[in-house]
Amino acid sequence: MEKKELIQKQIEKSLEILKKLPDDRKFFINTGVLLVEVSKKEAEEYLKKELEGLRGNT
Amino acid sequence: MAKKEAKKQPTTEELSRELRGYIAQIEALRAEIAVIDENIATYRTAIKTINNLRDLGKGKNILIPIGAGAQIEAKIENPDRIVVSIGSGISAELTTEEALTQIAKEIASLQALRRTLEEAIVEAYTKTEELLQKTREIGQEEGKSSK
Repeated sequence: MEKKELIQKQIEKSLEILKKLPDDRKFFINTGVLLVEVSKKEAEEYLKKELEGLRGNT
Repeated sequence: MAKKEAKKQPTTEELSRELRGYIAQIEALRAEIAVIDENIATYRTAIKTINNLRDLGKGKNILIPIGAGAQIEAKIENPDRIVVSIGSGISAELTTEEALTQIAKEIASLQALRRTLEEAIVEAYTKTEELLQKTREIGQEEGKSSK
C-alpha cells in the first residue's frame, strides 16, 4: 500500500473515532509542540480538509 | 520441435547476492519489531499510569517532565478524563475506560503486526537456509569438477 493511501486510511479511521464521541468532549489539534483546543466540528473539518488535500493531489 | 532449454544453474555469486538480500530483509524486519516492542512498552506504561492516577484520585500533586530533567508541579484536576491521540494530529478527551480500551486496541493491532513480521522473518530464514544449502552443493560440484 502506498504511503498516501495509508495516511488516507488513518485519517478516515480518526474521523470515524471522532464522530462516535459526544460533542461535549474536549478536542485538540496537534500543531507540532502545542495542542490547541478546538470544538468537535473544527476537528472534523480539519480532518476532512486533510483528506481533501490528499485526494486532490492524486 | 520446440527446443527444451536446460535450466541455467545459478552461480555462487548470484546465490550469495540473493542471500545478502534476505539477510538485509531479516535485519530490517528485526529493527521494525524492535520499534513495535518499544511502542507496546510505551502503551503499557500509559495503562499503568492511567490506573495509578485513577487510584490516587483528584487533587494530588504531580510532577510533569518538561525535558532536560526538569519537572513542573501540577495538580490532577480530573483523573477520569484522559486526552488520547486518535491519530492524524487530533487528540480527544476520553473517559478512563474509553482510553484504556483505545490503548488496548492499539496494543492488539501492534501485536498482530508483530506476528506478521515474525512470520516474514521465518520465511526469509527458510529461504536463507535453502540458498546456503544450494551454495554448498554448487561449491562441492565445482570442487569435484576442478579436480
